[in-house]
Amino acid sequence: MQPYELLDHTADAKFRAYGQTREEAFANAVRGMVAIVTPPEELGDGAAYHVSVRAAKLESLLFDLLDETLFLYDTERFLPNRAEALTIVERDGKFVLDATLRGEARTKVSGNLKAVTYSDMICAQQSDGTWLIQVVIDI
Amino acid sequence: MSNEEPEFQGDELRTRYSGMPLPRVEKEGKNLFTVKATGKMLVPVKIFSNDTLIKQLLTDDSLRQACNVAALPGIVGASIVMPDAHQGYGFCIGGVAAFDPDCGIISPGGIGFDINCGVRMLATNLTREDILPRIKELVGMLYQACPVGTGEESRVRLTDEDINSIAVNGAKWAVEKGYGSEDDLEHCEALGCLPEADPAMITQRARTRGRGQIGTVGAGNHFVEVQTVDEIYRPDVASAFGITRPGQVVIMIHCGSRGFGHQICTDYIRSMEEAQPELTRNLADHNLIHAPLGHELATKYWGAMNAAANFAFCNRHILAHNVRDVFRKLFGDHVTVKTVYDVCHNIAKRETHTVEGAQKMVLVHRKGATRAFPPGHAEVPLAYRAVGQPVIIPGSMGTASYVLVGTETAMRESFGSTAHGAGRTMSRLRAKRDYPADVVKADLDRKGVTIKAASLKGISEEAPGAYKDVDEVINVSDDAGIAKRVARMVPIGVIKG
Repeated sequence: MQPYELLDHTADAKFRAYGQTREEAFANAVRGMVAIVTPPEELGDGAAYHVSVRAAKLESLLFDLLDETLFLYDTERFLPNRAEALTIVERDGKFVLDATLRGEARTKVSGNLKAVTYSDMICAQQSDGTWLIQVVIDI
Repeated sequence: MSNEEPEFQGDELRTRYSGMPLPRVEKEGKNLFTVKATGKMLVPVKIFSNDTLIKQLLTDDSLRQACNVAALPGIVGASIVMPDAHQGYGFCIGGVAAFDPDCGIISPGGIGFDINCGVRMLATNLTREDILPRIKELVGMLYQACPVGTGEESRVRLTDEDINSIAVNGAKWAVEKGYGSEDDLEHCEALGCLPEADPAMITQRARTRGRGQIGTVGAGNHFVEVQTVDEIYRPDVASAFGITRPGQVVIMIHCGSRGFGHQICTDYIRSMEEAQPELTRNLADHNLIHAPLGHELATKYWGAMNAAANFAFCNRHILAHNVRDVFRKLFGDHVTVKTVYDVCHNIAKRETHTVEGAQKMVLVHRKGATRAFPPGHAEVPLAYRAVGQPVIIPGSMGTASYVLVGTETAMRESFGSTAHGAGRTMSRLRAKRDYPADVVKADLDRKGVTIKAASLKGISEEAPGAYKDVDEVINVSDDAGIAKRVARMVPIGVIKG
């Protein structure tokens, strides 16, 4: 299965990410969002950031992971080419996600990622057991 | 785009999104279409449009979104849709929704992520002939003076104190630092500073994002554009605005609160939903998350939203100062660059309007919509009070822009509002496919427009073909009477991200 794909959306950017597990889908969602700006494969590997987010719902967890990624781009000009060692556990009634974003620091890549939205968001296991994620990003 | 060619007298319309029939769109007049309040809707949907634009409107999710807004608690009058509307998140872009101060709500999605995205317009005493011989140099210097593109850092690094001061003082902070003058402030919506900002409500992440971004344009559909006056429709009003003849050089600066505003919106969407799980579960659309007015979160968001709005006013003010500097450096000390006006496109305001025959204070959300106050209104600058508030509507890159004037009709029909721009018709993905950057550039060249952009992708995505026809949007605004056209401008130089 393809890891992610960009979709048509009138004013913003929309993508889908896929995974055999929810962790894989979340990791591919990071790449899907980056792909809005540039193919993640084309990014360097010199920097890494650890992210840790917690939320009551899986959709909010996804939202927070992508928001964290976008925040690093806007403030540090860091763009990940992948998310590694991504784990999602349930603790005290919340979902907790930890991951290492690996990619390019002080990137010259110019692109617009303004905010994550909940528009048309999908974050769900499909009938065949695989996971589908869909997100609209304000650009 | 859809193949459907819907009739508007009594036919049911379906969108490809919901798969469910929407309530009927009825044509009330040449420029007015309505959807009666049905189901959960508390008020009707009121669409300012025409036969051409309504067809485009119905090809995306805008109508369903407008219907959802009509069902929000305490909404007053109607869920209003402007001629340039296209789907957004929760609320469509190009909409107005006013709420009762006691039983109504405030919704970050009804204002937009880019809080106080707006336009400042400047008028010079130069003509096309004055600047054409040095247009490339001018565009190059503007590109240096106005950082565009993502990740472009400001020359000014803000401390926390600076951020607090900008949050409270807006464009006044910039004047105190030596940018522009008081005269500029007098010619701005809200005098460039909204009074109810609360720096304590700014989230830490917003501070981090905003710290390096004051005085920058950003990317996407933001730009600085040098234009010349093409046609003057209402000379007396134009003259009051400082627009005196065809060929006169003017400048439009289109940008907002950058990462600062985006993060505030994001953070408050998250905290509103964490605090109200029951409400969140029952929302028709997640992006409609809101807080009841008077609720602690509503008050906090209001304080933060006004802070972000002030950041944007300050931002445009600094950019305008830099633009003025460039013009004077290049063309001489005799050059004057005056602020015509500065308007918000994404904002919420407490305003007094006539509701069911009585004057009532309401909270007006404008998302992709511009205030259009009439002659005589206290909030219109003294210099313009006799004619009405200037309304600035930029077209998309390389197409015409307009300045209009607010009217009594707008106060009566649209909570004193009109459209904000051209509105997209096509995704950025498709625009990149259909409009290669070199083709767009060549086309702009042919039209005599010099462009300098931080990325080729930015040029493709912003191709004029990806937008609605701004002339049509203005026709609707003028014909419906919610803002009357005053002058039309065409671009001669563009800088963008």
